Amino acid sequence: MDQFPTVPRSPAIGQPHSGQAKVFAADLGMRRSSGGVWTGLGIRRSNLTKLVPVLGAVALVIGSGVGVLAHAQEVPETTRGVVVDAMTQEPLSGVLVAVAGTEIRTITDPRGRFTFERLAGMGITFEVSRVGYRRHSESVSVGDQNIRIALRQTAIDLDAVVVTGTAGGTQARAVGNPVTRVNMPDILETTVAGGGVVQLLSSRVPGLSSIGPAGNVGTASTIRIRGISSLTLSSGPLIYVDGVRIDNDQFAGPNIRWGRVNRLNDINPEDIESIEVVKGPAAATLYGTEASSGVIQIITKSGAANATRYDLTVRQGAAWHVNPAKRWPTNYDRDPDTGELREFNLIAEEIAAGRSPFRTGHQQGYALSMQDGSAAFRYHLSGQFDRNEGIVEWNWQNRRSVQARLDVTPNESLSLTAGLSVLQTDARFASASGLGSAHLPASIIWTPPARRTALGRGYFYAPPEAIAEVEAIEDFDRFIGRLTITHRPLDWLRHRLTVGRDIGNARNSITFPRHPTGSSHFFGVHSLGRKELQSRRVILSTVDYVATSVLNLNSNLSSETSFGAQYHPKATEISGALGLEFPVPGRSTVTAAARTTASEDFIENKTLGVFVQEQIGWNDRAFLTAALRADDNSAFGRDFSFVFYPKLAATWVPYEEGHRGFGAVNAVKLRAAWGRAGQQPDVFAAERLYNPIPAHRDDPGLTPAAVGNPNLKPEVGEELELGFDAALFDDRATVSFTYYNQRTRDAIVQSPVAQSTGFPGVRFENIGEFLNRGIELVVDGVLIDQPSFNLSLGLNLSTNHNEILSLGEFDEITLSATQKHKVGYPVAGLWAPRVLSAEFDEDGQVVNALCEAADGGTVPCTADAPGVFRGAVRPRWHGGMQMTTRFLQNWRLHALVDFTGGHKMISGDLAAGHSAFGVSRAAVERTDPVLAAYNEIIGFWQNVGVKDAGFAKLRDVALTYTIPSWLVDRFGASRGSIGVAAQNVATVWQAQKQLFGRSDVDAEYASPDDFSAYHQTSLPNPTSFMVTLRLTF
Amino acid sequence: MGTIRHDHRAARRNVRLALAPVALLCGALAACDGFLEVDLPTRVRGETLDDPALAAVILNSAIGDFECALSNYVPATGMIAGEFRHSTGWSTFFPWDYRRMLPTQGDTGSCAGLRGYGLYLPLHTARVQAQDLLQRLDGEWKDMQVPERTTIEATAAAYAGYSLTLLGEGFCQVTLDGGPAMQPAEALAMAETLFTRAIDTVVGDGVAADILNMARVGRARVRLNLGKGAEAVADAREVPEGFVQYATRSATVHSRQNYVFKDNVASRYITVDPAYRDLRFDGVPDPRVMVMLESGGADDGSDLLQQDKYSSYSAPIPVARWEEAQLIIAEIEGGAVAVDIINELHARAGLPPFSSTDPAAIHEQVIEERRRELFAEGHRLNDMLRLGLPFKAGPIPNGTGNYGSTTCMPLPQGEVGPNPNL
Repeated sequence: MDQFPTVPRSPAIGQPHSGQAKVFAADLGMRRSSGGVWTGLGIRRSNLTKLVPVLGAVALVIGSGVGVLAHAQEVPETTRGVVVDAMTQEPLSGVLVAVAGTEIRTITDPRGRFTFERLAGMGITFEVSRVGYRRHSESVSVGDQNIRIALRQTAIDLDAVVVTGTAGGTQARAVGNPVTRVNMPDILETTVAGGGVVQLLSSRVPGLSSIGPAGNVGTASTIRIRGISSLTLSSGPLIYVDGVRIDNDQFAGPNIRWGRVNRLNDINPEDIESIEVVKGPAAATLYGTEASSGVIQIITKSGAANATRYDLTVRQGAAWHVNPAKRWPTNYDRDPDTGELREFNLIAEEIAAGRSPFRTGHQQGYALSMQDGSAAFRYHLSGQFDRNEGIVEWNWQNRRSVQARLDVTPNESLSLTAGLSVLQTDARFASASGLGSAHLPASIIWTPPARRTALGRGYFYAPPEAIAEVEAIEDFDRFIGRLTITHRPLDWLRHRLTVGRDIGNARNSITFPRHPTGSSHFFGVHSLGRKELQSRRVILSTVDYVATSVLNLNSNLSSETSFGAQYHPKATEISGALGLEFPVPGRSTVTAAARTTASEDFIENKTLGVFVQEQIGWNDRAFLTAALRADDNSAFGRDFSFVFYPKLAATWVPYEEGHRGFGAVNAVKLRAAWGRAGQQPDVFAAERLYNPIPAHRDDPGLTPAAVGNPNLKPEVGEELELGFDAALFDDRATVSFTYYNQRTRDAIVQSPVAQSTGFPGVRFENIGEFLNRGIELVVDGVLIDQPSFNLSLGLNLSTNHNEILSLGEFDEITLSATQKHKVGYPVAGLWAPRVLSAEFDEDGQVVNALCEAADGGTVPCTADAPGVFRGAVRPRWHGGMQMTTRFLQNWRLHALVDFTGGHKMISGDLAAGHSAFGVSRAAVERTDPVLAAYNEIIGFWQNVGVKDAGFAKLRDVALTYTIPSWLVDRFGASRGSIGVAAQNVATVWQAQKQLFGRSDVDAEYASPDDFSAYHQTSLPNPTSFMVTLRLTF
Repeated sequence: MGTIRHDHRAARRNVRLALAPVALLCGALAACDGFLEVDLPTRVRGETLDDPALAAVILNSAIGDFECALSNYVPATGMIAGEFRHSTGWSTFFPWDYRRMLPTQGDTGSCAGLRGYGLYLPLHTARVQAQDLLQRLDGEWKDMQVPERTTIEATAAAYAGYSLTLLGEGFCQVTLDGGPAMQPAEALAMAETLFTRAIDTVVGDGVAADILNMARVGRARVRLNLGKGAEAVADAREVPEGFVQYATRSATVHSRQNYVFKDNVASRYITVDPAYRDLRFDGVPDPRVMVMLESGGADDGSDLLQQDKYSSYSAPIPVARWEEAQLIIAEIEGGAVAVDIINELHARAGLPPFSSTDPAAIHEQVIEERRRELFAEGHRLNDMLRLGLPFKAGPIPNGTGNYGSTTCMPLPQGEVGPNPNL
């Protein structure tokens, strides 16, 4: 098969450009008049544009849309033009423009332009092609200076190269799995970038769900691919940057209350060319142990040849809390003297007094990049600074990054890519800590009227000005260095070595200053002063060698054989210090504290794996792939050595673009894949361990820590995937459908150890089995496609059914008072008593309270009422709907609605309001006998808070204006755009808006932790508005 | 399309070339275990404990585990028994205070938690560590290998006995090593045997008087529970005046801190129950339970009453002491003996003397003396269960609903779930 196609790939893929590209002088502008007449050289432009008053955006529109600036100059020797994307009207670089019937060809430059000198004849035909776009023929006149060729993207790009673990990647047509590629520059044009990569991927990648609010700037949701993939371990995907594995911790940062840092967000979106998401064991087999939760491949931006280019992006915006007085609940109690119902809305009163605890945060970002190079040497340098402020005054995050990437191609057979990213983040979080309740939402949400006059104006624990004194900070530096050498010693052999290292240094601290009044201040003992410091250094190394040989066995059959070996050591060094009680206010180091303790830990894990893969192709139409991977890991039990992961995949392309089609179908790829991948046990899970502790008289001692299991082996996820990608109606619509069925065997269960053995709770055993199955559907369609107006709609929908098939000898394993693993039900399902009906008798006593019985019937409610299955804790369906329209040439409007649902959670905010603190109207007035039955018969307060967690939000609305070239030229720029975008605009649907008459502050509230369905007291995701200016010079 | 040769020889060579390194790498994978060697510089592997030179460290660990458990046992059972109440919004304290303990709620499993209490596992950890040490002493370890063997054996037996005593006194049922449920009396009987072993070991050797007296108080305590009055009195009379054995506490880490001080004074999570406020005898304030009213408890709904028995994180908690032995004698003997003991204790506290000849009044005063003298030492819950005293009931002040029905503590979910014998 064709490993080195003549059609040049996009620069991001790392193929050196060949051909005879011409570079235009920077001031040669092309523009089209309303009559479709192309104006020519910009040499005289200045005279013309002097006539056009600079009247801001309105003038820009008129100028771009209807400006008649016809002017032509005959230069018959030269034929020039520009190639653009038909939908976005953005210039396309790297497009092959060939004169039909000749060997004459060229490639467009980074501004999409091409030039031919001295073409023969009068009329000729250009054959225009680029990976990912439909081949196009255009008849032109020789000597035309203003050719504009619009290419339409192929609805399914069968020739795109995807990163699959083999040397050089594999063409999409041969890949048996759906690999979602997210083009980051496209996305950044249509959204507020403040939320980082996690937020940008959510709702754009089928099968990838994110959960948990991120109203606390610096924190992020957790992401899962195709549901929960382990009963005990992290279900987070592996993350690679240009082939180098990086830290994928989704629960990093200081130990603050409700909200953790997701390390994926360290990577600045502006540095990313694209992200490929590999889902599930069938696709991730070559990544081996640890990959069963999927893989996220980040491909950084690389330089383009033959054009110096600078890109400048400036973002300015604001984030604010919409309508806080209405969203935070009004609380009630009764006057102890008169028995009168009283109400209190703390936020409304604070706002009325000019003391709103919320503010409008300023969001800003600046990115500058430079790229240049030749065919043999290309570079891309970039630097960014972002500052995002939260909705409380003490919450902010600064991110700085510098990134360099070099692509060197000394000759046809050797290429070298080196990359270096230096990232620095410092953030101060909105919630300081669970310690001492320095947490604003908890101080607002349950405060009863009786507290209105108390110390702290009614803030339950502490007022905002006191909370603002407590600092929770993450100071983080990350270095990712990588080098890939690809060598093609023979026509049929290519091999590649990637080495890299990710070093992350986090310094987390939580500081309670000493208050002059000491422990009678709001935070009790912590107000005597407290400093908690943690340094955490995580080092991941990658050594990855892959060789791939390609040959054609005969005219129909091709073979591609790959083998490789990967070595991934990971070391985590943690040191911590705690200082308690400062002698006087103003001290803030651990050393200044009266009592200090220190801690240190070191955790190491290493994986070594090898694989071999054979791929047979038939006429570029059908492919069969078989692979086997073997892994060993330092966390496997002593009595367990290797694990093997096999894989089989097949694809068939019965119809494709440029060939015959079938009815409305103009291209289709059918695919099937089966494979396995693993998930290693926790680092020391196999060992029987004792922890050193200070024991009697503070002398050294040991306490039992873990029972251990010498036979412990990895979890093995096995998956069958079936699906198709189809292009319909002349590439105007695509449908991509995937059915997946995963079975995780040898699932590691924290098999509980009876406490009477003296060992703490669990022993890790490979006794579980569970399944995840569902569909992923992506439908995109171009509804209207006119030169001046187009409209496209897209939908992606994913479902996930998760069910435990076996827990060894157990039928169920309890995780908490409300969650358990139980055979036949979802992982970590939510179980709680449910009151179906109740009545008040004449004396106001709750009578006839009926609860759901374990068998689905009813039983009289008692304190021992059975916990019945209430639902899964991860979404059973999720997705997004988007609309993009381009109008008046330069305007583009994008809207995205995302939705998620089918799962349950426990809202601690609501439960405590109704029960533990009893400040809701329903609790105080005692009007609802069902609520009264929960409170007075069932007892455990959390049961009141079970609710449907589904919601849909209008996530993004973005309007982008492409500044016409005649105007950007005035700044010396070649391209430019201005975008205005709003995020978290509205909640359009909520599965359960109220619980006994009370609503959560944000529909998006949920616990980010799979094994805890409980959520309370987060800051809501703010609404934000951003203006983004992008200029290319 | 590219220029790739259709060459079968190349194909064969290709396969050979491909397979050779695979074979090599597979071999390397098996051979290069060194690549997968990892350091374990913090934790200690189980087999390390087989070394007899570590006997003293294991003993120290067992005592440490018991002390940690006791530090939780005192405030936790004190909440059920009306010595303490929660004074904050943290729901972890509700099941104890509201007497609504279900197996799934209450016991956190760890005695070193930031909030809430763990008793069942920590008590068993102490018991298993101590009994494991006794087993090693009985088994493969030679006398020569273990310096101070007698003291180590007696101490291990005494602390194993105390662990079982608290399990038997506080829990409705007791299990051992994942076995079937036993009645509390069975656990107490096992504790009696262990105390006897401690006493016999020390008496034979004539060392470690503190351990001897601790075991005597412990045996008197379980014998009082088991209704063996005369034997209990005999043990109690052997305890010399002024004897006290403490659980050591320190300010270092949670597991070493005095949790009464931490939760009542430092963190303000719990308050002394108002029933202990301003205790007097004949109008004279009783200095054994001094409670101070602090403004601004973590929960404004109730005043924060702070005790002064433990005034720092490192205040030690009595495990066994002469006064307890005297009160055991008083309770069993009654009459003039009891009045004398009460007055001895009153004299020490500067309180006016008590006088009565009514057996019921004397008994009631003995129990009141226990309530005050042994306040916040982990006795009250057992006294209420043993004597059938009424628990707090009715509407919860500053809470929703009524008090529940917990008296003794149920086995926690951490035992009920995994124990195949339950």
